[in-house]
Amino acid sequence: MYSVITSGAVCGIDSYIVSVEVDTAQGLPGFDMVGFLSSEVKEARERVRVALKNVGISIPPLKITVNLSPANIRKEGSSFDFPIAMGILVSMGYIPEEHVRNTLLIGELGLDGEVRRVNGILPIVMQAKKCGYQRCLVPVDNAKEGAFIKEIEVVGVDTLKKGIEYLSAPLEHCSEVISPTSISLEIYQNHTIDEGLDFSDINGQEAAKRAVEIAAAGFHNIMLIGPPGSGKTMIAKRIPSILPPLSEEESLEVSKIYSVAGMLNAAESIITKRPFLNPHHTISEYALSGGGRIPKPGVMSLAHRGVLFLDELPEFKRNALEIMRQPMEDKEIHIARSYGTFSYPANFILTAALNPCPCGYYPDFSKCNCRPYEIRRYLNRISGPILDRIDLGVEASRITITDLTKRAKGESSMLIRSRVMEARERQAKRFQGTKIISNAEIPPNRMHEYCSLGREEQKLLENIFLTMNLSARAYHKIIKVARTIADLAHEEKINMEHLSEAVGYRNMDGKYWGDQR
Amino acid sequence: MENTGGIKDRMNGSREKVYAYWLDNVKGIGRKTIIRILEQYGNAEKFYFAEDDERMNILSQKQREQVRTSRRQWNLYTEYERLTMQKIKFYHLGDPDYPEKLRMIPDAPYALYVKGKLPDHGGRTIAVIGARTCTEYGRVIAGQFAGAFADAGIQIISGMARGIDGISQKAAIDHGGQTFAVLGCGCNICYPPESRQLYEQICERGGVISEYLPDTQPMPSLFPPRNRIISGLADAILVIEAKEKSGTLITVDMALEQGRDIFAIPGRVTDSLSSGCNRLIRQGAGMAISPREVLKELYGDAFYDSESVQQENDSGTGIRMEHLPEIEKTILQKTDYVPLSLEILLDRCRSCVPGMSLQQLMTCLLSLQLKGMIGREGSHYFKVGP
Repeated sequence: MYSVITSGAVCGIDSYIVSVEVDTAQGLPGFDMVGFLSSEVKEARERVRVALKNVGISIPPLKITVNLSPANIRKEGSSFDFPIAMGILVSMGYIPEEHVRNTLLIGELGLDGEVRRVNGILPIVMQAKKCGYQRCLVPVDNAKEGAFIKEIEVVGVDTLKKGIEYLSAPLEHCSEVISPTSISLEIYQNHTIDEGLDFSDINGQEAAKRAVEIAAAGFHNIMLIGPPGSGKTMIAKRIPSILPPLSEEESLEVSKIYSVAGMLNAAESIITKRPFLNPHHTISEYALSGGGRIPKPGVMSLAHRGVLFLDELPEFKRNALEIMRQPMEDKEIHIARSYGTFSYPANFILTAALNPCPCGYYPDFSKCNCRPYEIRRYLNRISGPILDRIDLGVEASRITITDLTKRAKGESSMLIRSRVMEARERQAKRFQGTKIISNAEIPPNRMHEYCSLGREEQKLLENIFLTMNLSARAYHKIIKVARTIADLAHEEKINMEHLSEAVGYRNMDGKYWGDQR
Repeated sequence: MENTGGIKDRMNGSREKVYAYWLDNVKGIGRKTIIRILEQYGNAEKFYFAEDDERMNILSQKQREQVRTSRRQWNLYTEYERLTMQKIKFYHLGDPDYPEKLRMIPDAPYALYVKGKLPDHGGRTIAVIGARTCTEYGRVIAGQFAGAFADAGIQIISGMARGIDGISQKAAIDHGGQTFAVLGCGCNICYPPESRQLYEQICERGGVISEYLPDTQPMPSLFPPRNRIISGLADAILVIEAKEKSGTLITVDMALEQGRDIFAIPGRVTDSLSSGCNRLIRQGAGMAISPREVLKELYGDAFYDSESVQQENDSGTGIRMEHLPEIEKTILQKTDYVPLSLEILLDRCRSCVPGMSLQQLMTCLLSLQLKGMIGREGSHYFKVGP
């Protein structure tokens, strides 16, 4: 007898439907699996046989052939155990064939018949919905993750036995065996405001705080420069607290990445908080970009729609930093492997923190003893193209004792966030009907449309372009930042003040500090 | 008045140069030994032809061996020819062209290698020196003083280092003056390498001087001794900016030993780069308030009327500031030659204009920057020009 069960697999960030075909026939007993399988998929043979035995079903001596189709894509992982087991049962006639029609099955089996969690449920359920399937049987641990997709029934299965029971029951009664998982979105959206880190903790640093607000409002990359102990890291860590909460759509996008990376768990089945990643500077380029034969999402993708914070930027390996060039432009990263090219989204706010010189105190000559060439060598570790891709640069100044004692508390994150969200709303209105979400994403060919400048402003910019010796990219970045500043000021037209402020935040152009003028 | 004897002398002189050059090239024989040799023999040529046994009194066994080897291998005229081919001039202590001022100092170098020329005999020379990492203040002042000195026909001596040295020599050249660089490496090597253009200009419009053999690579230990030559060639030393412990002050010490006048630019007591200067003034160095006064004090009233020195600071900020909007004027007054961060500027400006916003400040700063009145280093701003 022959049966077909539908399952799914992920390839990069996307998923595809896999048909699990099982044939049982008389003949020399055996259990063969074909379909371009990696060894962990082939091991399913033993897991399935033992699991079935342990739930009380013994397989008679038959010739069993399993084919996973399409046979030209290499299958990996242990998520086919459950569909294979069910396929055998269907082909032996335990379960009526029509009960598995329009149903997608996925899960790993334990020897005791437990159905265990697997990675990538979210994209697979998404794909299933797209292909018109009506229900998915997934491991109970993954059920909430899958249930995030609406208009498809997601059923969490804890054991093989329960699964058999469910599929054996008549279609109209099966929901009595296991009820489909549902989640209410409100629960997730309510606890998005993070307690703890708040901007009111930071005294002084007005310029840095302002720059961070602009960065958050327009999703711009930002670089914080300052002496040790000036609060660069403190400021960076508070950026998520002023970012608007993830929209449902964004949340799904981010969760998909985390699902593929296997970083979702039963407690946090969906990502509702903006990611904040803070890799140590020893990170390898593959950890940053995503690596492996079939690459897993790297830190850059995990920071999608959130903040990637690189503390002590010059200490990072040059290779690792260079890898970020293209993703920072395209907002996604393409990784080519012999199996094909994989694309992961990577649209993050790059937040970099660094000292102005090896000792950290330049240009305070009473403390800084660094030689010009030492400073140059230190800063040369960050290549020009990377600096060019950073929209805002600001120096956190040294904290004075008055800053610490006398100043009133700074603005709270709530307050800043409300301004940021207003600016975001203006952007959302502006970019309605396009793929663009924030000002930082405006492509050069749409600049005229969204960031038109008056005659006077144009002239100022030309003047700046010549005196500051800017690159074309920097030129556009200044306009985009000015756009965000205007949005924060509730103004539709970019004026001189907005432009001047934007220029003030470009401090990484041209010559390095410490150079002889 | 030159007579035939003079020509003969000069021919003898050039012959002596060949031997002196050889002597300077003998390994293991340093300046002190050379002085002993000269005391004994009078000149290098006589030493060259002296009997080996004779040399016993003043040279060690090893040194004698070195001299013997060198005499065998050294082709006197070819080697000297090679030197002249490189356009390097050679002067030794006994040379009539050897700078008189330098000859007088306690440990005058035996040999000088020069690309370009030596300072004019009897000409007025001032050494302008200072820190390598200097502030905008130092930059401006160095340019001003060196420029004014050059206008007055003073030859500027310095070390061509980064910072003050280079800036003042550049200013001297820009003002059409003569300037001389004393290096801590061979005079045919440009150090620091990024000052290539300046090096070429100095070779053309003055001279690059070194006591080290050509092709000597720059080494930290070679730099302090060259400072005595800087001060030795100059009538007076002007220190623009110096920290309390610095190479600049080594030069000053040497200058004091040589009995040169010291002038220092006063600075604020809070500026670490002025601390060395302020201390010098405290210890009795002349306080350099304007180029004119320095010149007057050094060379007397004759310089007082010198045309070019007349025009000073007056043409500066006052007129330029008049056309500025009120707020920019205020901001400009709050800036300094020392780079200040936005934060500090904002604080300072708020004391005058309460409630000034960051945006306002940044707008004005950009406007001032475009007018060339303010410079920027990252997010730090400083006053430019006088």
